[in-house]
Amino acid sequence: MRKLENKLRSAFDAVQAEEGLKAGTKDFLHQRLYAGRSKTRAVPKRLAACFVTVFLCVSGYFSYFTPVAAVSIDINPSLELAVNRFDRVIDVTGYNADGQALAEELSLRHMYYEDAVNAVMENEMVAACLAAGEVLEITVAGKSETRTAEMERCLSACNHVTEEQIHCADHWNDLESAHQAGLSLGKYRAYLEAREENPELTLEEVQDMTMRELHELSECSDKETYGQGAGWGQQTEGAGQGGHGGTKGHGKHHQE
Amino acid sequence: MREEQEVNGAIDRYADTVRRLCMVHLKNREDTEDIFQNVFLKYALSSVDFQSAEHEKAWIIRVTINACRDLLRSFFRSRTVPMEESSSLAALEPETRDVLEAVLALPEKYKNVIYLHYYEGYPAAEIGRILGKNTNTVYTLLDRGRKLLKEKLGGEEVGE
Repeated sequence: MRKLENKLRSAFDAVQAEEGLKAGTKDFLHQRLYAGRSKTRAVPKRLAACFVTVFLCVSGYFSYFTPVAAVSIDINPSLELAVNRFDRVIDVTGYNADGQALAEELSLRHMYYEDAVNAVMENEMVAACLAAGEVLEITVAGKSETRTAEMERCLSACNHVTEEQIHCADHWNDLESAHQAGLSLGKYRAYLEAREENPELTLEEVQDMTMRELHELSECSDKETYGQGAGWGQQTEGAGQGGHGGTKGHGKHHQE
Repeated sequence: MREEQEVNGAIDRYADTVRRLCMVHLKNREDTEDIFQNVFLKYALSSVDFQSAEHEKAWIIRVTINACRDLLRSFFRSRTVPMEESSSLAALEPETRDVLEAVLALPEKYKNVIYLHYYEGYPAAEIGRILGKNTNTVYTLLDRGRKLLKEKLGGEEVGE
């Protein structure tokens, strides 16, 4: 070792990190990296929990408010219930003035569809129509055949409703076609039935007709063509309340 | 990221080395604190798998020198920092203070090689690897730095 080299070594030896500097650095790193470690891990968990909650809320909302079936109740009042996967009524639409009045009068939203149908059947205006000999038809459309069959079975147990008055749409798409025509599903089905025999029949005319009048149109034609196989399918004339309930074509019964 | 215990151990082992490099390059305590935090934060976040203690020390030295260089390049700091380091030497023994002041008076390019060679004991080739310089360049810097120190410290004999 030479002299200056020793001097340099001993001079640098005299320079040492102060304890405060070391402690300050450790404290800085602790605060910056380690103290917040549990917090930084908790943040993604909380965030994930928020996302799951939001997802469940959104998916629950859409599950609840997405219709998977429709029940059309047609006499003169023409009313349609949108039903969700939980069998609850999520929307009520009146397709004529009486139907709209009925929809406003009865608070059917969020009821089970069977209770909603019972409430409609118990209504004074509906009872008066039935007493006056009007025809009742309940038409069910569902996204699945199983659901539709189950609904048909349940509805047949409702007050003042017989199996013959209940019809099932062939396809869920029929509902959209009916709405495009400005009619409820049941009335649209009856319109198609009547139009086969009366091609000149227009939607505007049908909108103001009762179900009984529509069936009378079909029946008049049936009488003329009866026996020629010109019906829509099975014929159940005279069945059901009010002596009507023709169920020819454009619909089917799910027999238990 | 390294565990806190491992990082604290590195601070205990290398704090003096980092402090000496800061003393050589920087002029106030705030900058030294910044460098300490910067260097050991990089260490904590680094995923380098050190093969040996020597490897780890060389990494710390290189990071410290680079951090000091970056700080000195800062336009704002170069015009605002007060001159404190020289006054902090006043507490040292006169002979020690003279030697350190002679080192601090060297041009920047000689300081690292002088420190690394005469204090840390690194050979020129290793200094070249740490500083990213050619070995011959390191020899040249050492030779010139040594001559400058000789002049300042009164022609003391200095070895290779």
